[in-house]
Amino acid sequence: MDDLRNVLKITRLSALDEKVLLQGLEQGAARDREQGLEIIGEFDLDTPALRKAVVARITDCDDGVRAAAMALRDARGW
Amino acid sequence: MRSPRRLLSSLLVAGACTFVAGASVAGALQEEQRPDPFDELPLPALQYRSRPVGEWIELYRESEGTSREALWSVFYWDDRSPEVIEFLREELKRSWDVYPPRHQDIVGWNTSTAGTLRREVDAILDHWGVEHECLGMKKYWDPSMYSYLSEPRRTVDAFPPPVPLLEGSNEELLELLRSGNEDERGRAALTLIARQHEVGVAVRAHLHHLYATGPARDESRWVWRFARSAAEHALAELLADPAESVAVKAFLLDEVGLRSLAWQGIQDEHALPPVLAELALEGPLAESARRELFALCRVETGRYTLATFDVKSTRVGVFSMERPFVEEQLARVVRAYLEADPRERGVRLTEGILRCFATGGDSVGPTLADRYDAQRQYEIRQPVRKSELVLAAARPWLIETLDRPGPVGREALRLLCLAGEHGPEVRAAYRRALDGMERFDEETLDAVPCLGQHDAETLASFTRVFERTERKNLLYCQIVAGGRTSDGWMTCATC
Repeated sequence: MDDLRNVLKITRLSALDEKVLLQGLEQGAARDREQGLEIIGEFDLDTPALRKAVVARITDCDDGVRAAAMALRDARGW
Repeated sequence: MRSPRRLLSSLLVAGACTFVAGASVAGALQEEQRPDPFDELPLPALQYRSRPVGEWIELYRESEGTSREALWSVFYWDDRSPEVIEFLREELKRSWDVYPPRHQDIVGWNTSTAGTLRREVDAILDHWGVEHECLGMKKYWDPSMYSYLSEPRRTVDAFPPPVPLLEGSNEELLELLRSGNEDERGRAALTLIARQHEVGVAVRAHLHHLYATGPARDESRWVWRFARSAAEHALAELLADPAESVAVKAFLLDEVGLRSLAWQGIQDEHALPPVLAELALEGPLAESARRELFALCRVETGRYTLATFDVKSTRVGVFSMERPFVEEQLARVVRAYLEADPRERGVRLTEGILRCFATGGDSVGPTLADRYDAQRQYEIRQPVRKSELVLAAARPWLIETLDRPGPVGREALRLLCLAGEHGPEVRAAYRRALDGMERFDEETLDAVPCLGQHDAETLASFTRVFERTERKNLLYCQIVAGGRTSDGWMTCATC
């Protein structure tokens, strides 16, 4: 996820980036999922698939991820 | 996605746009003011039209992969012909051969450190939607040592599960947890965790699977990283469940090394210390659990700070925040343990406290004075001194231990003095200790406790030592602690 963050500093979100981000949010370690949510907030990313993934994380098994997803959803009004 | 040419155009006309007034363009201006990743980059490619793309490629090759201007000029030409793409792919591959990654490159992915523009090359290929190998770490790193770092980081298979997961519905997997063979149970547990379905049940099943089959480091690490607080809760529940066998608990605490994994969970949760506190009260795991609690309480010592600083310095801060909570649990254990059999246990536990803090939990190890120099003893004593809760619980038994000969008695006296205790028993022990001194060298003087309030007799004992030694400066702390300075209000801030 750190690499994705670096890449997004110099390019726009590509299809591959979105795939990786979605996979990280779904299958990554809790820290990856948390970072994925941070990246969505930091770079103001917004696609239907990402919205869906963020909302799905509201029921995440990890407390930290869950809190981050709720904060992001509230901030964006999703 | 905005094309590079449009992007360049928008950059060039941005200044002119700012002079346009009117409500109709306000929204557009606001749009332009939003952070644009391209705007933050000093891309030296404004003259990209001065040469054809082929010449930029040649220039880039001549620079041996260091000309940022040539590379970004290739990008701005936006020529996605097979030749250009092949050039970029080759360049990416070449950079890994010429500049194998070092650890700092992986962590920071810092192009200047790596001496290559592979980050930009990778980003361009990605921006164009070209399939390519992002980071071929496995070629350079031993996966068994750096498995987490060595995975390709930005590919669609960047987050592999530790073992092949199972197919089937969640209900079928839950059924496998109950009735499958050991291998099926283990894989069903991991699959359910990966699907985030009944995670608590699955983690507990995974822990039982570990007990049945032996430690599985990769799988455990994955479970802890993936489920994090949920795994922590599940472990805590298992440890606190009276129906669970002691053998399983002992295995998880002592053999698998889940203790260290659980500590990572403590960064977010407070589940483990209360459980350890429960276990520490009675039963076959009491000694082990007490050791864990003492170890948790010890983490802020200088020794621990030094040990972890180079590895992950943030942990030190995290554990600093945890300490009051851990202390609370520890004090509870100390009180409850002692109340059951005050005299016998009091002496044993006092000795245990001294030895645990001295040895990191080894209750049969030597005491502080036997093992460490003065500086290390100071570092180790800090949690004891600062932990009023622990001291309040142990104070009566520390006083009883004052009469014991040797280092245990001396250590009890020192701890009580550090805690500000100056009752009759402490003063008597202080006099005995100082009056019995026959040597006055550096090592011996370091053992003189910092008594906070003197009477005539203790002052006489101290004065005798002070007059006999030539190293009077070594007693500075003791003088300050007793308020025996010209600014009598001073307190000892260094010991």
